[in-house]
Amino acid sequence: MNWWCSSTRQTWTWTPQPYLGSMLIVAAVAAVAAWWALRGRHTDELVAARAGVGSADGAVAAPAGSIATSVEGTSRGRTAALLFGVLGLWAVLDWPLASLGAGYLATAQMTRQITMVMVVAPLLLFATPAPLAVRAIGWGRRLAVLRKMSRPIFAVPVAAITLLAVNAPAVVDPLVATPFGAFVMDAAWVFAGFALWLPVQCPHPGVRRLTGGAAITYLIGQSIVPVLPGFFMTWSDFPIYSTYELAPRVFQGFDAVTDQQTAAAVLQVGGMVLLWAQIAYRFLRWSYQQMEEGSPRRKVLPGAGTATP
Amino acid sequence: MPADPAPWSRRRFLTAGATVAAGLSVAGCSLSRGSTPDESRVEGTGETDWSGTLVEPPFPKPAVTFTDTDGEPFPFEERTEGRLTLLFFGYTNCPDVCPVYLNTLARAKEGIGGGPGSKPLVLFVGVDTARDTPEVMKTYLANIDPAFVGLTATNEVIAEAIKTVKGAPVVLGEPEPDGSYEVGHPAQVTVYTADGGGRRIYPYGVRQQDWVKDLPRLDRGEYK
Repeated sequence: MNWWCSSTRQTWTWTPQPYLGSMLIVAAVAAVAAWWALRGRHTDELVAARAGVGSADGAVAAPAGSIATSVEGTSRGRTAALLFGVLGLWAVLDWPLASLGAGYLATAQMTRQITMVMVVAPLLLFATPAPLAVRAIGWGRRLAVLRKMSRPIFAVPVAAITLLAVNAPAVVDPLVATPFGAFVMDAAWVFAGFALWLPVQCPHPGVRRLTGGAAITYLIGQSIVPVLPGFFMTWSDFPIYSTYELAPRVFQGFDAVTDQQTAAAVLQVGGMVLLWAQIAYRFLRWSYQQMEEGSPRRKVLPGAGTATP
Repeated sequence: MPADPAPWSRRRFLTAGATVAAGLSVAGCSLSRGSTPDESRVEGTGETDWSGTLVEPPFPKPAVTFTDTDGEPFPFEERTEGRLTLLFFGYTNCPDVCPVYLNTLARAKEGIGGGPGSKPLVLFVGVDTARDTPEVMKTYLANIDPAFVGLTATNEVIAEAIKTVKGAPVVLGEPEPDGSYEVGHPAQVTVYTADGGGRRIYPYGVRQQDWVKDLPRLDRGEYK
């Protein structure tokens, strides 16, 4: 059993080849979740109380372990997010998607990237209870770093540069050739995903999240990032990645250029759809909040908008 | 709880902007040019602009007669005279090198479009004589590029031709339980320019964009 996927240039086979490293990572995330559910949230009242005091949303001190749910989302929602986040992480990091992506099909690689950045990262951030984030980050220097990372002025360039770098052929081809390189690239996706979503989804109550129109504007700005690599992949006359150009074919007739153009579609359309679904959800929620906040005022001014005969 | 740090100064903002611009430039250049050139590029010979390996002195043409997919004789020297010719030894059941290499050549031809290098004579010699029958070769190549010419011959003729281009001999693998077997063969294309010399060898790994660059020059008689 290999510890991580990489490009081997061997003929593709549908015989399962699980990867030790991916299984360990998924197991570690599941273990943290299990520990928190069974013991963690009941054992650190100080963390929870502090979280209540520092909540940017103005949440007051609440019973231990309940701050996160009082800030945003429900326990059931978090559980579902955790479940889908872990399953998504497993799908992205293990056979067959990881093997196909690392050595055979650019389409599989882009599917992995989009899933990691646009699905797994926000789900795991949403699933993280605030007290757990407090326990992991604390209230000291690490929180200061997290605050800086959660600012759009930091998150936008970091996520953009990371995502552009991990799509550049000069980076991709050498990295996927070895398990260590492929691991570094997958880690870069995780980093980029968290960097992208931290400003709007940071679970630490000591960090001020973007909400409403600001969050929507930020996400619209981030939706531009996939366009550049997608553009080159769509319009290039030749395959830009030697890995996928010279890999044994998995599906007859699905040549390297077709694969590349499909990958571009996955990156652009898939990425856009996932991001815009979030934007739409946030816009609707924001709109309803605005309407609720505005309704008493309309009652105060009954004459407004009643000029119709 | 510590207070939020001060807003970013103009200098820091400009620095961040410059970093983003630099990152975009680097990524953009890489994306537009593809990754590094193919692994077959000759190092240390001043030939950085060519793919493959220069052959000096050039290989002669194999003085053999193959059989084409219509069952007609194909005297190599005669039929390739005055033409840019690419000679490749492979087999139709090859799972990796052959289909990738032949598809690379076919797509490169499409990429060139018209003019010099757009119509090289690509010869695919089936070395698995038991399975690479003319009919099988015809169907196989029709799915890749109908202009490619499939050739067969006896094992002796094929061995002689491979010897001429100093390729690795054909090796038949042990049969699997299902009866299939792999075949070891030279994973390279030998390019003969119009003057009849086998001037360059292109091993597996040469990319479409490199063929597009080299084929027109080879067709004009340049080879170094």
